[in-house]
Amino acid sequence: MRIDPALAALRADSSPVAAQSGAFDDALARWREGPAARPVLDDVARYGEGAALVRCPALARACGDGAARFAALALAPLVAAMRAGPLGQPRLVCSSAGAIHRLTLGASGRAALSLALVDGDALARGRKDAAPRAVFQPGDTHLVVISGQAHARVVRLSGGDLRRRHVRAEPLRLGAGDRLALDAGCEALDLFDVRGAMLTLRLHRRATPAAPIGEYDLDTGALVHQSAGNPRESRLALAAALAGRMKRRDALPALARLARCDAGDGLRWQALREALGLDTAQGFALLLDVARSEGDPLAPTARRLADDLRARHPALAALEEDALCPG
Amino acid sequence: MPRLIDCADEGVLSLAECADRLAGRGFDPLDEASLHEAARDLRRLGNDPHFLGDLLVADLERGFGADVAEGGGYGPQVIMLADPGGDSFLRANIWPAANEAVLRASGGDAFAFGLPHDHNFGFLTLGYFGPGYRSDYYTFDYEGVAGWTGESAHLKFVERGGLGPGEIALYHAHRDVHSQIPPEAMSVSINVMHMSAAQGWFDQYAFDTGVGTVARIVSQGPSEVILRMAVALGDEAARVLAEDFGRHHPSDRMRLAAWDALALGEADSAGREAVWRRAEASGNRLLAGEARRRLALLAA
Repeated sequence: MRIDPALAALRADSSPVAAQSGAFDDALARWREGPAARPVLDDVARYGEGAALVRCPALARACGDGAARFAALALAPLVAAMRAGPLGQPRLVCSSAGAIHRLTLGASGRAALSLALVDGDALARGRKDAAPRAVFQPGDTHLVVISGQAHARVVRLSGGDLRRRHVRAEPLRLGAGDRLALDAGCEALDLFDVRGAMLTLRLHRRATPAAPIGEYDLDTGALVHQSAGNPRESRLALAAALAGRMKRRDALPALARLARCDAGDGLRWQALREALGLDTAQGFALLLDVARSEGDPLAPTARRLADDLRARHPALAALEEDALCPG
Repeated sequence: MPRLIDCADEGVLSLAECADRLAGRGFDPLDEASLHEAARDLRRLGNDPHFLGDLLVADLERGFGADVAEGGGYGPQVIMLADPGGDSFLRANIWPAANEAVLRASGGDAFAFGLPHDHNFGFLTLGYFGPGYRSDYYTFDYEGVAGWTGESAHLKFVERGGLGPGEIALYHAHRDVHSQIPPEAMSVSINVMHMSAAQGWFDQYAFDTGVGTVARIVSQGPSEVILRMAVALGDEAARVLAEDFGRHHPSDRMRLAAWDALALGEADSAGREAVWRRAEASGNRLLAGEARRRLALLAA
């Protein structure tokens, strides 16, 4: 990296960056509390708690006819802050990956409101290099095009199993003002011809209970990548695994509760397996409990594991009898 | 490659004590005395084999429905051990083994495995639990690269090695490059991270070690995204600012973002080509290299 003298000076004294970033954050705070944003962000909070979008009128307007104005009023003060303080960085969640740049304007509960900018040339290059993929994130997604044009398709997953789904596609053309409402667990927007750049406003509310996020190859319907639908689940799954490796038997009560809670199957199964590893008797009792739970999506898997363990460790039968007849 | 720090000490510090000491004294990885004091505190924290497990059990007991702020902007493998204070913060990182269900489900990318990169901050790291991840280590000349995608980084492979249990190492900002490999068994490292308000303006890179080039700049900030979006929206003040930043901003990364914003604001490829030709002629190495690449892609 070329280190400009102005940047080199920051190594000895970074206070200009702190000051300019503080001014940036002040501008962001003024926007958040202002009449253009406050009602929308309050509605994001309500929507994130489960309110219907029709009961969040400011948010509904921002995700409809008011999108361009909402975005303009959000970005203008931030641009002014950049001009006044070129070294400042605001505290905003953003990402730049491949052809897409994202900026989260508000998030609360299960909902997030974000701007997304698609670089059409980068998108086209990416599609030449690899089969198209799409991420299916269970929940509701509302999307409105603020600027730009694209050829696109709504892709829908159906049938099959987790590892391979059927993919159907419905072509469409998008331009400024167009809106989409997607059942994001099985529908996604696949852009493939963006003229220059496309700017959209996206509102997403993840489903409850959280279901895994799947990335699928749109040519084959094959599952490429999967992650937990709720970041807390991912954290707890890792924590459960590590507690197991650390042989923390004091984690057993918590693991038992997690195995029975309304979290995703991934976390529940991880907790159950770690409980089995920490204490055979308690873990096997927990496994049997899940195996016998009518309607529990983990029950068939738990039954198979219980059968396998019984076959390999006949002594478990005694534990099973104890569990049935503790007296 | 990272420098092993010889730091034997049998003392024990609680997490609160360690965090307080670091916050009170500060941490400067370029100052030997500061480095050794921080290493000793890290050693003493690591001498307690139970504290992290206690935190894990407490978190598991909070349960799934708890309203818990996660990660400080990091992914689920990172546990922030204390609120950032002053010029440093403490964090723990969980490194799953290749056969762990969480890694098989999420893939190596989610845990930064197989992604060669440098750091725009110096940090100490302690092998706290497990055998530790291994890395392919490289060095490079930070000021010798401009940072455009595909630029030769002249990486020098040093060795494949790892941070064993109880070892402490210093990763040098802008010098040590590593590509991490899953450990043989689940492991945890604890870091003392140096932080500065200015570090975000010193670029961090991902590398393609197969061909020895810069893959991309990974330290994009929100202001670069804001500028691109505002220009795309047709904000005239943003366009004027992008023209100014493209020529004069102290950060070449921001100059590139500004030219990218101007290009994205053009409706057709001829307009974008004209923008990149102006960038190419700017006399700036990063801009010239990236502009040549974009022009070649436009022509393809």
